[in-house]
Amino acid sequence: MKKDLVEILCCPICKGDLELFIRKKNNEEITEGKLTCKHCNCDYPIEEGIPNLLPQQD
Amino acid sequence: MMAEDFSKKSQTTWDTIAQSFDTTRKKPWKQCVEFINKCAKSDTIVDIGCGNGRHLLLCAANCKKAIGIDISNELLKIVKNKVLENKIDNVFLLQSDLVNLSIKDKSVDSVLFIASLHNVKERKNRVKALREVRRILKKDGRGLISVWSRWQDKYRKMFFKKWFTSFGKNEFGDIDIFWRQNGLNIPRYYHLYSKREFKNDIIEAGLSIIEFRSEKIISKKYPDNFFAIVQR
Repeated sequence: MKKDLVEILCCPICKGDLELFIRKKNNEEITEGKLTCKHCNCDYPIEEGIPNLLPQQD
Repeated sequence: MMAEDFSKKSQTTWDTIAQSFDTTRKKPWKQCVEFINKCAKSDTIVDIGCGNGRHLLLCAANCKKAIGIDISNELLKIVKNKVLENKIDNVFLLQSDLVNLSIKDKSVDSVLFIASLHNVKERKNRVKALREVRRILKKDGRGLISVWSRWQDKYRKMFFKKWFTSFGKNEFGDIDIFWRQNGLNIPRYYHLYSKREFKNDIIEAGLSIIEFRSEKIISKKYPDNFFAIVQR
C-alpha cells in the first residue's frame, strides 16, 4: 500500500479519518502496519501490502 | 443470517475459488472497455468487486489512479502479483466490504461495479451498496453497474418453477450458483435481477440512470446482463 492512498480512505463504519502507522516498508510500499480511525479508534491491519478495511469483529 | 456472518461467508467462498476463478476471467467485457475509455486521464477510478483485476488493469492504463476493492484477500493477492509483474505503479488495492466502503465522500471520478451487486444478500443491503457508490462519487461523477439477469436462458425455467413452489420463502431471484471447476463444488449466493428491480434499486439509492442496456453476453435468446451508467 502506498502512503497517498490514505488521503482517500475512511473508516468503513463511522467514515472517520484514518491515521497510518507503519511497521514495515519496502521503498514506497508499506507492507506491514495498521490504519486507526481517529474517530472511533478502530484498528485495521495492513498485511502483505494490502489494508484490510473490513469491519473488525470485537 | 447477520450481515457480518454473510460477509465472512462470501470471503471464504471467494478465497476458496480465487485461483480457479482467475483462470476463467481473462477478457474484459466490451461494455466496460467502452466506459473506461471514456474516463479522463486525470480520473481516480474505483473498481468495486475487482475480482482478479481483469478490468482494474485496464483502468490503470487509462486513468491516473485505479483503486481495486474486493472482499477476498486471495483475489487481491492475485491482482497484486499481476501489478508487480507488469510494473504498474498506479493501482491501489484494499480489502473491503461493498456494503461498508472505506472510501471518503465525493472523492472519486468514476466507479466500476461489475457483476458484484448480485452477490449481496437482502435488498436493503444491495440498496446500501448502491448508496455507497453515490456517496463516494464526486459531483458529476459516473458509474457503470452491471448485474446478472434473472430471466436469462440458463435460469429461466428454474425461476418459473420457483415462482410457484417457493414464493415468499426467500427474496425471489435468490439462488445458489455452484462453482464447478478444477474439482471444486462451491455454492455462491446470487440474487438475479429483473430489469425493473435493478432500475428501482438504483433509483432508491438516489442515483440517476444516464444509460441502460440489456445485453446477451453468453445467452442466445434472453439478456443475461443488465448494464446501467449512473450519475450522482
